[in-house]
Amino acid sequence: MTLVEEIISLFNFIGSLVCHRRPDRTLWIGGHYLPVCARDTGAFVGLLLGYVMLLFLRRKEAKGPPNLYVSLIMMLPLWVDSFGQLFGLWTSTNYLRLITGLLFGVALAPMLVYALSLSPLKGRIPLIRKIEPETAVLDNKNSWFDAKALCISIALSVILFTAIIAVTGSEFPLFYWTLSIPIIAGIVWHFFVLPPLLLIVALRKLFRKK
Amino acid sequence: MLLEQIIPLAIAQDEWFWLFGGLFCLIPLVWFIVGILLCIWVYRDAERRGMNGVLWLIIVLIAGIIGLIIYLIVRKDKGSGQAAPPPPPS
Repeated sequence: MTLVEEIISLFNFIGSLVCHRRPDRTLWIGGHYLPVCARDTGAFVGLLLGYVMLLFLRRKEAKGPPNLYVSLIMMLPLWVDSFGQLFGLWTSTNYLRLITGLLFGVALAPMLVYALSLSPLKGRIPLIRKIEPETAVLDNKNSWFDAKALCISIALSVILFTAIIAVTGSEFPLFYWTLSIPIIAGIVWHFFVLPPLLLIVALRKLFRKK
Repeated sequence: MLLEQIIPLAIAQDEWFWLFGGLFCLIPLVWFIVGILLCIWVYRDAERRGMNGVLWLIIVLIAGIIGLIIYLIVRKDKGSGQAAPPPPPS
């Protein structure tokens, strides 16, 4: 097995830990199946896009949660599409899975960072510390990530969606790596780094109190 | 029984299993604890605001983060759920 095949095998294994990877629901790009299904591809790419948007569009002085109405509008399609398919009301398509995943991921990133900053672990998690609000208050209506920022995120998601479907089915390996590396980074961060970090920080806090 | 089926299958499928397998066991546990804490918070917050805590706990359990967002939108302002103060003595 060559090094490239080894890396692809590792990517596929990491993907299989968090996703079913059904071939009919996974995008084929650059001569390989992506590490996760179309919906998860959208969600992980969307999450990373969400973090990038946070860097530029968050309102540093605001304390309130991300705009709840727009967040809900962005997250509901994934929920409706998943449950509609689960209950046999319709069969989704990979494109529908991808765009609903993208919108969900983009809206989830600011919610996740905001939720972390509300917890007693505030300011203790590397990387997150750089983008979380200075003070977070749930009752404050002053949106930390406002409707305008979320609408720009929707527009970027649609552009990203168009780019991904344009390269779907292509045999050019660069497209595979361009998408699979951020996806794997997203999986490793959200499933392998963040939970143990949360646990370590929580345990340290617990033992320090005692 | 289920573990006996899953673990040998994972080893047979991929040699990477032992590298990540142990760490992967932590993940559902951590997110499960986070989910439980979130549900407790929603229940207590809803009760404090004079809303049906059990109903909102079930909604958040089923709908996850979407349920939480719906709760944050529809929840009453602090104090509106409390009983009216008694009238001043005449």
